[in-house]
Amino acid sequence: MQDRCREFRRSLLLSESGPKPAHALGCNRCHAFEASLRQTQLLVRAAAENLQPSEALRRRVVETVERERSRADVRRRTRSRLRVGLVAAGPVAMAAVIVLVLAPAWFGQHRADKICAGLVDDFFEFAPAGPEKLQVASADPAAVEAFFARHVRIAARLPPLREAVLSGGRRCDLDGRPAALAFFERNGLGVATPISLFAFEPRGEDFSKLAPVPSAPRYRQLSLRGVTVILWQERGLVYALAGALDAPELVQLLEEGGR
Amino acid sequence: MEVARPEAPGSTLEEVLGAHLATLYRTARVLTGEAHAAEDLVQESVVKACRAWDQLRSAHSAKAWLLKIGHRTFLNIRRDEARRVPLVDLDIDDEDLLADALPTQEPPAVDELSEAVTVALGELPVGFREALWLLDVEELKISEAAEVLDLPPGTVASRAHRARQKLRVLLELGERGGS
Repeated sequence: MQDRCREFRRSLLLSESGPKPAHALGCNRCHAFEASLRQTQLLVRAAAENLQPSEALRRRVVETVERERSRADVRRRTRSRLRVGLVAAGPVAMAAVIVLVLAPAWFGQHRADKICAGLVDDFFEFAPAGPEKLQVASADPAAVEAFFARHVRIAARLPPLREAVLSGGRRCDLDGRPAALAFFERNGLGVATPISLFAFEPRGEDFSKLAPVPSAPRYRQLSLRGVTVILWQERGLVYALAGALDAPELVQLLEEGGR
Repeated sequence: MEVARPEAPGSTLEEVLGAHLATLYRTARVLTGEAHAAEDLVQESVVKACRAWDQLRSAHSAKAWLLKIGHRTFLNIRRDEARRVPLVDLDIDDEDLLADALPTQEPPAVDELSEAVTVALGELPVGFREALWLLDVEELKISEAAEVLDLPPGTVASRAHRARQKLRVLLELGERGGS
């Protein structure tokens, strides 16, 4: 094959504007090459005329376009609603953040106040600890602790209190939760002073707002209706000691109890 | 989807499909070799065209755009069916490709051959018959066909001519002579 023929046929196959007629007319073999190509093209085009989409297919296509358009509308409306919702949700989200940040503190403080009120109420209700108020009457701390473990389901530790005698314990209810309540009697200056010791599991209450006892900051204190309560946390439980004494005296009973 | 293309005011998806549905179907038919499969391919391609309508840059390129969607949809279906499309790169300067074509007999009337051509097309490797179809029937430019098929222009041209040569052999229209 001559170079001219090769170049012609190559350009014929790659050409988008048609072959160069001069060479094709002058070269029989290239002319035949081109004629063969054109003949094949004609045959294939003729065959293509028989391949027409059916009416059923045209209907399916129309239905498909309508269905897709409908879906697109739904997606567009959904996105639009989402945008509107996001805009509207802004203030709501802000409010939610505020609530989430502030609410626990507020609820924690609120519940602490209720607990404190309940402690004082129960102190008055159960003190002095007459026999009818006791569920377990014992001066043995281990026996009372065992009672709490069984009936209150907490492992409360009863600290010895200086100049005070344990008389027993019972289960009570503080803001909807079980609590252990132990009864002591302090005999000083010939007067029996009832002292109650509460123990319960914390549920997010915030006692930090209560004032610390100056001489012993680990204890928090409050006074309500003439009753002083000191609170502290120990081994996962909240303990509260309540009595008609001032806070330093209650702390002193604890600190100098020496078990 | 109702958005008109700036280059061709009033052009909508319905108009594009109205103008090129037959092209899409014919190409699908040549690719699949079977009417029902071709119709499914067309429908699937139309779904994709609806969703990709915003990507059509110009109404003038709508035909190639639609054919490209059809081509890719076909490849996806083939892939899903775990069948591979035979892809063979050919060199446009291959001597065999440029060899003489000498008809040995007078071809029959075109009408009589149409069905035989359709059958013979089905015997060609799909990549070859698709290139042939896009160039010789749908009359795409080589550059457009290359864009549709994601192939170099030279490969498209050589595939199309290989297909022509093979087709002539299958139709007993002529045999290639030596160079």
